[in-house]
Amino acid sequence: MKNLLFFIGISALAALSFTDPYTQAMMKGKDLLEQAQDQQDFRAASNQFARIAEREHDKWLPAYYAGYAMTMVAAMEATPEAKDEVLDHVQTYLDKIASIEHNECEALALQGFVYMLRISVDPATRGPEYSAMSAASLQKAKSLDENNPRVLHLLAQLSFGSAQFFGSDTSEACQLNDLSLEEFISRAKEVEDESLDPNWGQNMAQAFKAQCEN
Amino acid sequence: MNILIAMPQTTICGTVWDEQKSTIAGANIYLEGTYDGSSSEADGTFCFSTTYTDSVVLVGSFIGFNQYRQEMVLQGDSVKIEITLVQSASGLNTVVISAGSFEAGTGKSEVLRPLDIVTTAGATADIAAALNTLPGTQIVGEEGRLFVRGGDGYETTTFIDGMLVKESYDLSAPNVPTRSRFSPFMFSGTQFSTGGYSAEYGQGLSSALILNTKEVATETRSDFSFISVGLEAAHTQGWEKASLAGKLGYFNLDPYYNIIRQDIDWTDPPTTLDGNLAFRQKVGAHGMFKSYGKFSRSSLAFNQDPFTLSPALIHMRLQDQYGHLNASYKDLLSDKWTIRTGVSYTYAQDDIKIDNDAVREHTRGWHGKVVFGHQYSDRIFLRMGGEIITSSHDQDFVESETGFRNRFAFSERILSTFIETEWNLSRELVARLGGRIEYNNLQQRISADPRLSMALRTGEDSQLSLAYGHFRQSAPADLLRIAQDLRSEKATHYILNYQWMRDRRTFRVEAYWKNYQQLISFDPVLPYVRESYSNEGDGYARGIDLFYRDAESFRNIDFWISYGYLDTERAYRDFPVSASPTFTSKHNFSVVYKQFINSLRSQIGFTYSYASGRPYHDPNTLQFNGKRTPSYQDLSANVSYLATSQIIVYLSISNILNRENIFGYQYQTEPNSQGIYEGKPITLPAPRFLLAGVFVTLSKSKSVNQLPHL
Repeated sequence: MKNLLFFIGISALAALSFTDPYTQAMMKGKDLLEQAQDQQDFRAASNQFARIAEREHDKWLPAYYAGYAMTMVAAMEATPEAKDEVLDHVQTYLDKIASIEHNECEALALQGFVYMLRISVDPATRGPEYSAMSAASLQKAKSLDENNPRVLHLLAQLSFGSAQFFGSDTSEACQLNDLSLEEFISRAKEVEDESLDPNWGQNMAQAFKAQCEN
Repeated sequence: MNILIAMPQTTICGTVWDEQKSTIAGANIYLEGTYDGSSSEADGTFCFSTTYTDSVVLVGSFIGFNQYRQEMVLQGDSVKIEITLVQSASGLNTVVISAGSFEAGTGKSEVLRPLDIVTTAGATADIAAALNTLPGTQIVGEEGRLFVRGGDGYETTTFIDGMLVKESYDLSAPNVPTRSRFSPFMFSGTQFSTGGYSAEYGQGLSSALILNTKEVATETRSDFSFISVGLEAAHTQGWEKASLAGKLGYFNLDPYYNIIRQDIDWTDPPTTLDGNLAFRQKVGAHGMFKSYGKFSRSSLAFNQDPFTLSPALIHMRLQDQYGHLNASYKDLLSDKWTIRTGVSYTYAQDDIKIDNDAVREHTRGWHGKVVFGHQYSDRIFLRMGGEIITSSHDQDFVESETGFRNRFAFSERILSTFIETEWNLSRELVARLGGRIEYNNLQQRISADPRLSMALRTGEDSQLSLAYGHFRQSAPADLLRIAQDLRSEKATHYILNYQWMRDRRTFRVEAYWKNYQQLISFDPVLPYVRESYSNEGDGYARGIDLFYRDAESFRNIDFWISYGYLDTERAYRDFPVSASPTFTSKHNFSVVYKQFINSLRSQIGFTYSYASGRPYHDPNTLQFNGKRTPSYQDLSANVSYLATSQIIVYLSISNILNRENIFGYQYQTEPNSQGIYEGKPITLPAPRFLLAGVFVTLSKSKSVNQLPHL
């Protein structure tokens, strides 16, 4: 009897703290992502999510994070050819997400980010075409979630670059970035501990603010 | 927190290597279908544990490498394994054949980008004119068409999305340069071949201009152009998976000719009305349907001085109607098979009135094609297909005074099939072997033409490549209509090329030899009689082309230098003996310079072109085509200024040095009283061409404008 109670107790305890393998694996990936500093770290995080994505064909989030982590790897690549090659890989994740979930704000924002990085490979040739594609993705993302901080920040970066090129006023872009920072802060307060939703980008927006101040 | 039931744990550890025995960091090593796995460390080692048992598959993957798979059975013992990843055959590493080909696109082996073609000074956004700054092309300033390596203008054939395009040049008066009917704005990729091109393409004796139109446009925009010679309005509507783009243009050179004197007595300067429509639709996950239609109407009229001993002005009137329709579809049939298919139709009607005599010409043609691609293995790719090309042409001539009528006509049908294999023998060596079989109904013959090309990587940034092939082209319409059973003209190409490309610098040197056979010759005394025609002509063209391009050494500056040496002679058409044709010169040299000046928000460009004297025939001398014109030299400039992000101001001017270029000489048909044939030089109707324009783009995103097209 005592053994039975003990057993029931242990099982109940186990059941309460038992997280399903999927969530566990995703949390591990998010940890890796939060602590990632260099390309090696981001690759490790991406690989974790890639393994999950291969199993979970109806969930877009693992592919999203696998893609986001590889995007960070691409941003740190030294040569344009290597950048392009990694971005091609990210695009396969984005295409996979698009086939699962058409109108996902975060995925569209990531797509816009990827197009922006494509420009840096060959600005003269790709500038006009890819800025247009990036703007289109980001605008669509904005229509799905007006105040998404990542969307606001990426739009700020895009119009800042454009304004710089044409020698026009960059203040509009900087205001947009300030708005994104406000959203980052307010949304961070509301998020639950075990949430798997994307929350990256505040550091980028902070660093970008410094550019605006110059 | 795991449930405390004992389960066997197997640890799997090891190291990841590449074929050169270097370790790979960041590779993904895992058990297929599970979350269990890990990422290899900086030293290539990995270690992870799993509770799975029995049969599993260990997978290893890393970008740019083939997936590694190893079946194993886990029984709780630890596993130590060394994994070697193999670089994938496609991607950055493979060698791409460059012999005889300049590719401009978004690929990695390109020498020119589409932007380069369009921003070249002196080209005024005409494809042929811009390509004329590349080695292997001959400057024939009064013609405006592409002449490649000693070949005549008709020897270059144009393809759009794989489909043949006939009559690809605009209507123009004699000795007034023509332009391509197709604006470079439409194209995302251009492959300009100066010889030795793929077995997929035929009916181009010297070269193939392979143009690929843009994919689906994602942005909706409107473009308006106001130019000194006309107006254009275009609108592109983009949806998620489809886009529709339309353009309407009206050009009239009357105002321009009133301001800048021309040496032609125009009664009606050239006017053109044209429009085009392009529709794209993504089909399924990988397919694309493209459809393109173009129509145009042009007319011009002028008084021509016939340059005979009894000069009376002849009034010439030319009218042209043109339509081209093209539809193509490409898709993946499976993960190893692709299909590309298309159909095109071209219609052209030309009306020429010489005083009261009238000539009317019709050209109509269909082209239907299907090509299958098959990834036979990791290293071998097969391409095979079939096509049908029809051509019907007629010319009706009516002499008003006597009522004499004459009609020449032909209807040609060519069926062909081709097969080609691309074989990556290693990462350093690739070979392309193929052949074409053609049946021509007018000749009632079946012909077979082999093609072969290879490329060998000689260093990290350099390659050696060669190309060999048989090429044939049926007789040009103006000859075929008189003698319908003429055989095709043939050429054999031998090309050897060395290319070095690193960062944004390219160096190329290419040597070639073309051997022409079965060229069509006729007796000039009786040009309208079938018996005068034969395929007895022949010729050769050989030379060396050099090219250097540098977009790296100087900030915001991009320039290229090209030089071609050509030695050619042929006996064809009405040539009494073998001689160098008038459209060739021994030396061709071009320098193209472009610079973007940030502070002025402008791009400026200069092009300098030089061609040594061209042959011409002086009837006062004995040697046919024995004399040479003075050299051709031209310095052109253009400027694009970004007034705002939506408005661009453009100015272009040719022949800044004000040189009177002479392209040849025209002689009287009879000698004068002293027994001398009088001659006069053939020059352009005006010393230079000026173009000014304002381009406006309206779209939701302010960063979109027409700069890439200027």
